[in-house]
Parts: sequence; C-alpha cells; structure tokens
Amino acid sequence: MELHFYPGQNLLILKNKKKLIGRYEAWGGPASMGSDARMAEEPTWPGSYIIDKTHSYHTTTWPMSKIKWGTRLKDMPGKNDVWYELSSGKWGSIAKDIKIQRHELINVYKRLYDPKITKPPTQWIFNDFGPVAIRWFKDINGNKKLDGHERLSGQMFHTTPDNEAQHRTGNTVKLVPSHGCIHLKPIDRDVITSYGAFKPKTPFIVHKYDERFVK
Amino acid sequence: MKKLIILFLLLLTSVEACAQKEISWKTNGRVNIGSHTVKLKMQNVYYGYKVNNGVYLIGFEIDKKGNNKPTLAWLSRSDTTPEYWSFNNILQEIFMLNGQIHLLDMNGGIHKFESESWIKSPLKLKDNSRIIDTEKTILACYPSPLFKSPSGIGGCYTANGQWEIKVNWNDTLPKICKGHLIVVDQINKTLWLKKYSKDNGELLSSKEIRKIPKDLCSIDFV
Repeated sequence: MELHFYPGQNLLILKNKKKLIGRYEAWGGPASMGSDARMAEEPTWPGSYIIDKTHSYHTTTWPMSKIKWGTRLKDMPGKNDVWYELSSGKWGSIAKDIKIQRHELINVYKRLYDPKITKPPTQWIFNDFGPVAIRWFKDINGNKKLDGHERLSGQMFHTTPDNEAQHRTGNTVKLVPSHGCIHLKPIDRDVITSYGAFKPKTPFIVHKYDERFVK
Repeated sequence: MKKLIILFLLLLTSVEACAQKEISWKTNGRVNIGSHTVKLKMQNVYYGYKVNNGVYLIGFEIDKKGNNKPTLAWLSRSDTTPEYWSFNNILQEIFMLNGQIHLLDMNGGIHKFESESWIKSPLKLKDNSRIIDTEKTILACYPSPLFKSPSGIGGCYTANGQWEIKVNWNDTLPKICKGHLIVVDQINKTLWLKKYSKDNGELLSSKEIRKIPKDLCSIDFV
C-alpha cells in the first residue's frame, strides 16, 4: 500500500503495487502561508513520509481540542457547567478548563447536529482533529521506524467536527482548507483504514502543489 | 404629640418601602430579594440584568427528560411572583436601547418588550454577538470561532453597517473606555491591546501586553 497526496488537486490516491485502489477528496493547507491570526495556515509540506500511527489526539493549542473525542460528559445545570471525565476518573469543568459556558456548548451542538437539540451532548464530539488523527514522520534513516532524531509531523490526516456531524446526520460532507493538515471525509477515513493503508510503515508522499495525478 | 408620632411612623414606613431590596441569584435558579427567597421554575440561570424595579434572569427550564427550554424570567422587587417567557433560540443578554429593554439571542435575533410581550425586531445581528455599546447605534462584537476550521477570527461592528473590524478575541469581552472601543487582539501568540474609535472603527492606538488586564480600562495607552 502507498498513499499519494496531490494538494493542488485536493486528491488522495491509494495504490497497491502501482495499481490504483482508490481516489479520495482530501484538502490540505494553502500553497503559501496564510494569515489566520490564531495560527497562520501553512502548506502541507511536500516530501516522502512514513505513516506511524492512528490515535485520538488532543492539544492545548486549540480550545476544543483540549479534550479527546468521545470523552464522557456530565450535565451540571445547577452549577451552570458541563463536566468531562478526566483520565483519573474524576471530573473536570468545561466552563473552567475550556472556558465554554453550558449554554454555549448546547448552542454549538445545535448548530452542528440539529437545531431541535435541547440538551448538551453526553460525549465530547468537538475535538478539531475528529475521533482519530493519522500521524506521519520523515524517515531520515530509512528504517521505517520513528527513532533517532525523527519526530512526528505536526501535520496529520484528520476529519473535523463539522464533517463528522454532516456524516452522522446524513448530510453532504463539505471539506474546507486546513491549516496544513489533510482533511478527509469520515467515510473515506474508514474506507482507507479498512484497506490497511493507515497502518504503520505505509509510505506516504505529499506531492508539490503544481504536480498533477495522471492515471 | 400623638399626631407627631403617627407622622413619624408614616415617614418611617415610606422610607422602608423606598429602600432598594438587595437582589442576588444562583445558577440553580434560586433568587433572593431582600430576605425573601424565590425558587424559579428554571433549573439553570446563566445571566442576570438588574434594573431599578427588579431583575431579568436568563437560563433554561429543564423538563424530566433533560430538555432545556430557553427561558427569560422577570422578578420585581415589590412582587416576588416571577413572570416567564420561553423562546426557541438560546438567549444571550439583555440591553437597553433608546431607553427600552431589549433581548438578544445567540442567533443574533433582537426582541423588544412591547405590550407585555417580546416582539422580534427586523434588525438582526451576527451569530454569537455581544452588545458593547448602544449610545448612538448598536456596537456589537463576536468572538473568534471556537473551532480550528474554517479559518477566521472574530470582530466588532455597528449594526447600521457603518464599520466593521476584525479582531481575534475570545474570553475578554471588548469594552468602551472613555468613549473608545478597547479590545484584546491576539495575533499568533502575541497579545495586543487596541483602542478604536467607536465612530468609524479607526485604530487609534495599540500596545503589546504580556497578560490580559483585569480591567481593560485600567491600561494607559500613552
């Protein structure tokens, strides 16, 4: 299995021994640096990489990504809060830790899933990186293992909360440009995973923005 | 003498009647008006707006299945029986415009209190807007998106469309200080305190700050 991303065509290609297995819509970053004041968008850097792992990602860089996708929530209306389960089994406060009030959380849930929603979700479904992120690295020593001075790229394959909601509610999934990661449709992430193409050691090539895939 | 005592008692009673009863509320819907406690039918209260004769409280009435109905309550200082109104959209805040009470919902809808009911105004603000000033026109700000994608930041604008600026703010609500709009704008990881003209949105002054001050009006730009 081999993955090829053509950012200029918003196209991800899956090959097996040069045979085309599938083509999928996928959106990377812009061709040149962007101007988002929160974090400037960057190109998805062309190069040859190796897939390392698939995991549930969280980061303090983005507020909604501080909590892992699927984390259990507990509604606390009397305290004007929603609590989230910590890895210790205790509960943390979303109002305090994420600085989102209960009514704002219900409003986000309504906007994403259904205007008729009248309660907070029971699980955290707002992580910017979706349920899982697929990570890659530059294999400097060519042994297909993440070792030595090699590091996981900060760019990764993932879905978005908007696209997950569109997928789960049966609406058209509309991809948008990323800050440098590669946005996938939830269904395509599952299909590519079922082919085993996101397993560790899979070669992954990000082509230049002006390169075009020719069958 | 008797007449004097009666007059004194009458004066005392009227002074007591005029005294403002202290109002406080809890997020669980319990309200104290002077020594009197009222339990609202709302199980969640997240916003309150005091006026001379009472308080408006915004929250949710929650049924046994856990459904939250956006609700506004009015409690008068003189009559502790609450009045309620329910809405489809989640409510944001109360504000005064041209001397009249208005209500803003999270979808930018404005409701005006007329003839004992809330009438939706044709004027609509942007989603998630917060009212900053209403002196000449409505000056509102909306925060940067909670999500990473799509790209974009928050802003401030006048409801009459006169001007709009883009600013990256989240938790610290912009404020009017000495007649100017003061905003904390985070550009990449640097915090900037910016002063804008509220007449035309022109940037008048800015300075880099290390941390967000407790009171935006406490910072001297000179």
